[in-house]
Amino acid sequence: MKTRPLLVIVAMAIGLMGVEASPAKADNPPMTAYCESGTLCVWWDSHYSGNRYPFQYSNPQWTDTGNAAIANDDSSSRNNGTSGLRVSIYTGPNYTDTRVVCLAMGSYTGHHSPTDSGDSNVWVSSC
Amino acid sequence: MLVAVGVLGVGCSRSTPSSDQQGSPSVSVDGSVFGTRDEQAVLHLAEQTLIGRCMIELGFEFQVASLPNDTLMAEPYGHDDVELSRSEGYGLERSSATRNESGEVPNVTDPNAAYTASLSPGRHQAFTEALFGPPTGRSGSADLPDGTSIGFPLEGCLADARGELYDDGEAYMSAVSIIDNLATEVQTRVTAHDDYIRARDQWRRCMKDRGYAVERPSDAVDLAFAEGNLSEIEIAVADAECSQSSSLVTTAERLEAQVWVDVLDDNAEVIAGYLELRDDAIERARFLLES
Repeated sequence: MKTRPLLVIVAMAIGLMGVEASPAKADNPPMTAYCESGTLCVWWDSHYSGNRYPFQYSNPQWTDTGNAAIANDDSSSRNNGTSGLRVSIYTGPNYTDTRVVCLAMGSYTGHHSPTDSGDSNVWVSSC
Repeated sequence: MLVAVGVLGVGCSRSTPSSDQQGSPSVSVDGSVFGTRDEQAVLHLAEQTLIGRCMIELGFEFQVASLPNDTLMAEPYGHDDVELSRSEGYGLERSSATRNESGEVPNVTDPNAAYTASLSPGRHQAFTEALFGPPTGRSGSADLPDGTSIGFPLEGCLADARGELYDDGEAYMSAVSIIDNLATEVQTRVTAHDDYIRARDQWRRCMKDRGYAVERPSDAVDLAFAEGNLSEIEIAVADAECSQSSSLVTTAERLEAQVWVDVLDDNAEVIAGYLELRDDAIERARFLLES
């Protein structure tokens, strides 16, 4: 089991202190949840909070990238690529096992189902 | 109401039985929810072209991207091609060989990466907001069968382009967000089916007999990643042979064909609305690209 970074634990504690929590709705990401164009952004926590991990390319195994910490700890995501491609997140390596979500350009989801299971991502022309 | 649709563009092509029920949306078995490859390419290019015009009007550069010929064949239920496994394993070596320094595979280059990299952080953020709308901008959402909600911007050049192309950009995105994720719903139902679970248990026992303690097909790929290239072939071959002896993949494919009928039926209204928007959009797209 992974150990969550201290910053995230602090952020989660703050989140418990009165910040609204609506688990299913894909609310507009808050201003603090900026996702740079050209990337798939994956957040540690739901509703685009906690640490953000940007992926520019397709990755057959997140643990082999500089964003290894988000593997099996993903909770929300946004496709801000500019190519018009969709992006899919899978729970298995090499785009196997359950597809968590497929997002069109500009789309986002505030709560992954399943959560904390992501392991690979791929940009595709259709889902 | 039953919709009979050949589903293309979901990783691999499938066909489902047709329906003669009156009142069904007229979608042919050989058609597709997403349309033909040419139709997809036309819609993609038209959307990108409209985005580009908007971004240029706002003072930015924008590189329009054509639809690439990607050939990803997702294998959510494992694989049973022994010969391919013997020659390529899972194909992991290929992926490893093309990684860049940050460990990512640069197989899909963002067409605007070079331009946005040249911008100051503030200007890059302005580019992002011009394209996707401001953080506080209007947004829409669609709820998937599993309760997941997909959001999308209703402001910015992307939303404006979809509005112009599909006439009702919000209705289009509401529908396509659901349709894009139907395959996930299908997979959920297939893997929960008793026949699939029985086959997977046989596959698991077979893999254990071969010396691999894995629970599901993706675990075998994980193991291959961890073990390195030499073991990858051995694991992939054992995986494929166990899939054949347990009929894991063929069972999944049989169930998938049945489940797609149910899932398409459950979403018939959404699909019918989407197809209407898409058909009109194809005409607009062709006119736009020819003018």
